[in-house]
Amino acid sequence: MSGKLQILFRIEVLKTRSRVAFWVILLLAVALNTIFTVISVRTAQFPGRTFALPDSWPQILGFHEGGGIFLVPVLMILLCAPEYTWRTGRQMVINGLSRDQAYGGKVLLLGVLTGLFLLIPILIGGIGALVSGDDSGPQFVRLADLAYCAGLTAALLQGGGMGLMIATLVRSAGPALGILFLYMILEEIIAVLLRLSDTVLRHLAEYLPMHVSEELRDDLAWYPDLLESVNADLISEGAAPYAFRPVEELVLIALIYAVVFVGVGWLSQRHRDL
Amino acid sequence: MPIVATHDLSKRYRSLRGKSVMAADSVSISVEQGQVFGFLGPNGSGKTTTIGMLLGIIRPTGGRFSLFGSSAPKDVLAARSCIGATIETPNFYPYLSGRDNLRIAATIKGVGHARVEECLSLVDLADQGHRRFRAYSMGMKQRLALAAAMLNDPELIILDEPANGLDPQGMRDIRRIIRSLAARGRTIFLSSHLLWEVERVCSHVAIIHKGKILTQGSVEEVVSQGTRALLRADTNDEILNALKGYAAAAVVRQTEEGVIVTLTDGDLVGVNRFLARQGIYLSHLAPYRDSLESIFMDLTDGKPVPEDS
Repeated sequence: MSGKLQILFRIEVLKTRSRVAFWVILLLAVALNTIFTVISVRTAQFPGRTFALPDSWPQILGFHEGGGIFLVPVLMILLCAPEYTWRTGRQMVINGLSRDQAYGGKVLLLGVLTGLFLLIPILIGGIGALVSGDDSGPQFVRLADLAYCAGLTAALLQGGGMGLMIATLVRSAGPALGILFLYMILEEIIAVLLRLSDTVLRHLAEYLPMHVSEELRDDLAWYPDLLESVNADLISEGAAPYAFRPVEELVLIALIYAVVFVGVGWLSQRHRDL
Repeated sequence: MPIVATHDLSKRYRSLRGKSVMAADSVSISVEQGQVFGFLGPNGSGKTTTIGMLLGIIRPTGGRFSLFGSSAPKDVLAARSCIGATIETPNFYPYLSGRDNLRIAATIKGVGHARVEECLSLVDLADQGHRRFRAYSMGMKQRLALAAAMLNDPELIILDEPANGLDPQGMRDIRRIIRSLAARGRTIFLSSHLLWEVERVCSHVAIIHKGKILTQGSVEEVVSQGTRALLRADTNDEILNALKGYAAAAVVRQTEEGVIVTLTDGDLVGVNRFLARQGIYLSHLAPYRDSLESIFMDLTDGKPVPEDS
């Protein structure tokens, strides 16, 4: 790590480790994952049920599919927006950081939180699966599991990037959280309206950020065998089978969104008065 | 080489409705090394906006400025590492201790933690460094801000309203610290609306009002601007009324001591002759050395200011 990056990292660590909001959300994630893992271990006692690696990775990483992913944008807002209300962000610039460096600290924070929240289910669920006593396969991790992790990382970066952008634009935690949740509801409505259209607009719904994230986090998109088995059941019941776009395309779109969100926040930081 | 120089520095704020306000209007000031420079102005006059532009937190809409002789953006950023500054209210993380807040500032400035303890001691906060910032009194917050500004022993210290919220003892402490810094050759840029505070510690001043610089120079130069005379007669009201018709009387105001008139022609004999012709015979006529406060009031109001006390 270069000298300036190290300084930014140390500052963010010093600030974040004392924030109650950080610990509350971290503990929430740990508690939810622990409960989920304990239930999985207990359920594995029943005949025909297992909780073992590597087969259970989709289930373990399902924490983010089930909504855990939203903790990162919420935390980004709670950690970044008050810098404007407390005016500590401007003081950092007065103290000698450039505006870009001050914003760089937040991008660094986004990276660290993404890694941390990806690790929480991996560690807790992984340990749970190892101690469950079920027979594991010949390897702990398959290529598909790593690819799923990469997809979740893109989704976490996209969500966290959106949180950072809203925090930087709105500059107040309460209204920023309100806008984040409002957007989530609005996007659902917009998607429904777009799907009703007969024109090319119908396809736009598939490219909306939340929709991309949702598809990206679905384990069925990453495990073709699992998808095949689920679809076979659906077809036998007369229901339409699931279909997903190529995961590479989804990852690319999510990363583009992440870059755009972080970029908009950066432009705001650069050009607005602090 | 001036440490701080601004040339027609301007900031225009535009509202969503298209209205615009000129918060700083062609501000040109110059602060030389070693000066204790008072930046005076009423609330909302453009002091903080001007300082904000110097510190890079407000984007100028016109003009330019230089720090330590350079106006290139890269040099200005580097120059800021030689500046210690606090602007408006002290800005710290409320959930962190005073000591941790200083540690963050020290990390940015590349200063060791030993200096944090030194600065806490300098502002008498060594015993309170462990307490959270949100639990500090206003005076303690101001002192912590001063400690943060002094961390890297900067060449230039910019203090925006440092006496806000301080009790008399706190103000005395701030003055003591400013004087000791000045004695060590540091340049101090002190923004305040407390005129007596500025007059006590500053060697030079600039007065800003409605975004415009009205005057600047050494305190002595500013105070002796124009010729002022103290006049007394049997009834001072008569003098006030009569001087309304005297063309050379720029500003007239009544005080407890008598009537003070600023004469554009500097002719004390002339004003005496004029009043005598009006049937007013003065019992006292003498040159008057004004206070900075009176000058400030004259300049910012632009009309005679009756003084109650």
